[in-house]
Amino acid sequence: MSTKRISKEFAEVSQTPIEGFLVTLPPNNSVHTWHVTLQPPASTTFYPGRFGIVLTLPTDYPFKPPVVKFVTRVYHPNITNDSLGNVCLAILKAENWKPSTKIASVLEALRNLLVEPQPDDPLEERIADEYRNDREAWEAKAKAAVTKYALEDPVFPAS
Amino acid sequence: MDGSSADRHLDANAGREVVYCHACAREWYRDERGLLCPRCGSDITEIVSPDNDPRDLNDDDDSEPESPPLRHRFPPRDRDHDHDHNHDHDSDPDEADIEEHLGGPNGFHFRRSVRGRPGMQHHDPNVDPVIERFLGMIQDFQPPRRPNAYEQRPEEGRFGGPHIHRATFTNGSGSASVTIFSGTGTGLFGPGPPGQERHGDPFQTFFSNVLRDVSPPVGGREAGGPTPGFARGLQEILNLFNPAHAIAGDAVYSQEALDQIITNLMEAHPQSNAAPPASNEALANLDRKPVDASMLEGESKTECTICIDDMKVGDPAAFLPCKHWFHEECVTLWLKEHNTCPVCRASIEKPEDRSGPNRHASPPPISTQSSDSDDLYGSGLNRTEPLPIPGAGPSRPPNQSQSRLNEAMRGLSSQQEQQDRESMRRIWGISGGGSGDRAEREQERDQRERERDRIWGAPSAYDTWRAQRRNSRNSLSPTSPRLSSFADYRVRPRQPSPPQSSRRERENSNASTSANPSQPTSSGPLSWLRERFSGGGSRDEANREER
Repeated sequence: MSTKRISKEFAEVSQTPIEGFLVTLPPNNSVHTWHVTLQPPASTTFYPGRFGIVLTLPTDYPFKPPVVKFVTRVYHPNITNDSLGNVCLAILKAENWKPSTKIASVLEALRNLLVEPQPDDPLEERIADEYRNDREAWEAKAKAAVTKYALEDPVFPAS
Repeated sequence: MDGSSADRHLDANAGREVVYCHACAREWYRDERGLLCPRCGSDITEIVSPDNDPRDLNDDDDSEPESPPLRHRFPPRDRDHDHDHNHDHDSDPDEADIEEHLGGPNGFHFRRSVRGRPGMQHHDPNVDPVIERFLGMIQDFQPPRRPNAYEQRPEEGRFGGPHIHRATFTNGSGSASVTIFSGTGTGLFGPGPPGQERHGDPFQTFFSNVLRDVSPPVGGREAGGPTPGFARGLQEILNLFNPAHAIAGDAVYSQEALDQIITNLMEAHPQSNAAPPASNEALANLDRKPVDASMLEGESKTECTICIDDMKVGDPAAFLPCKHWFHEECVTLWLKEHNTCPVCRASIEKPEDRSGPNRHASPPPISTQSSDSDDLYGSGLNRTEPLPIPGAGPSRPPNQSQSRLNEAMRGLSSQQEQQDRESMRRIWGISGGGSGDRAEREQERDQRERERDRIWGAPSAYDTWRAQRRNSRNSLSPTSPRLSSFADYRVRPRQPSPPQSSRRERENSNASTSANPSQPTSSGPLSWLRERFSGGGSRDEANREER
């Protein structure tokens, strides 16, 4: 069931791409891992970065939420600023997840998170403080991180 | 003894303590030169004892500082004081127990025993620097103090008594126990020669190291690479000392800090916040029928939102109480994990299934946040209705840390409340009643109620009355604000940017929660009495309930 639904969703996303997203499957063609490239809207601090996201869909998807990790470094209150790139996204939490949520919604939520960080629910407390209290410094650092990490095409880990 | 060693080495058994410098391998008598190395000034020195001699007595080259200890050269004997300022790792596999003493300038002493399992390394070398820093930090907490007179035993501190802290860390491969003495001046060190106080403060550097580690990494977390587990644990402990966190031990001083702790707890068990599996009963009670044409016509939705396949006429479908319907097979798979609607998250456990007023709906209050179902409000109400009295009511769906947390809190507060009442009852029941204070009148009414129950032999009536009363009260003040603040808290990530309002709300709920238990507590003498009596309250309560 999960494979079927995932394939359908992948077909949908491929046919009608979500604005700002490029979705591919890894070389081994497993539908349970999606390689997603996100280009945030031009209005955001993170433009013109391109951010690699690995979306892992559990075998019991859609009964369990997808796991989302940034492979590109992001200077963001809700994304761990390390090589793990964990994301805090409310709809992916076990208590919030519902199987009617589609991956497209997850991707849109990710884009919204880049457009509007949620410093009140941070993964990176320090960046959240900075975002709240010294927005200019945060923007400068976020831009610097974009320049440093996000201008090249994202490199996805072989899986 | 080893006579040859007397030529080049001082005899440690001659009744005088010999000190050995690990930095330059010099030896001297302690009563002549004290503990600091007279040659290089290092304080990495060790008092030589027969069964722990760091010197290499075989080798004539005594400038080798890292020479292996030769403690089996001597028969074990009593050592009065084994001050082992030993910073290297003398892991002798034959010795099950290694103790290390580290001394600091301000009267702090640090003693570490490491016990390894057979075949295990005695301790992880990574641990040492951390412990040193920890020690340094502790030392920094104490105001600098001149070295004091010799103290044989640190427990007999002269300045306000000693403090002994012992902590044991276990990591599966053995355990290390850390004991820190703080007390008088130099304690174990004995009287140093004048002017021997350690120059500068070497531990200042340790402390700044600690501070550097405690503050968030500057260049992101990648900088240090993976921290060893133990070190990280210690770092987390040290984090608590950071005033910015307003946490000290198990006390918190700000709402933020409390929130953080709760968040941490919740995130530590990501699954446990989710709704529990549906009961078999609820599953069996679902409306089921094959999809027919009338269901599809007029419906905007013709696909099952779970498998996103089209619903075709004849497919077996299941209807949830919220009127959402799905492929029976699909929704069953989901309901076996969570008892909520896959679309609107309304609970499928029907209100009428609940056997009593105390039974509460199982899904966490979070569900009230989704508003895409008209039926939701009905179920939502059920969900925010007061939680049950702990221990009362039939079996509750397991695996909900949310409600467990609430319950625990409620348990605490109601227990407190009960105790309050018991003591009040005793006091005011005897003295004949209140004097106008609302709380007192309430207590008196309690008392009368109880008397009546006793007379009419209806303790169960009393119980229900009390239960109801508590419920009604709860729905007003104590924990339901807490509940809503939970919901509020967890909704937050979904809201665009509500910091002002949500914060205010939290403050409000805060105020009301803190206002709640103080109701009978308000006046000074009462609270004093309550404190006096609350200790025995619960037992009395138990006795009385037996009747």
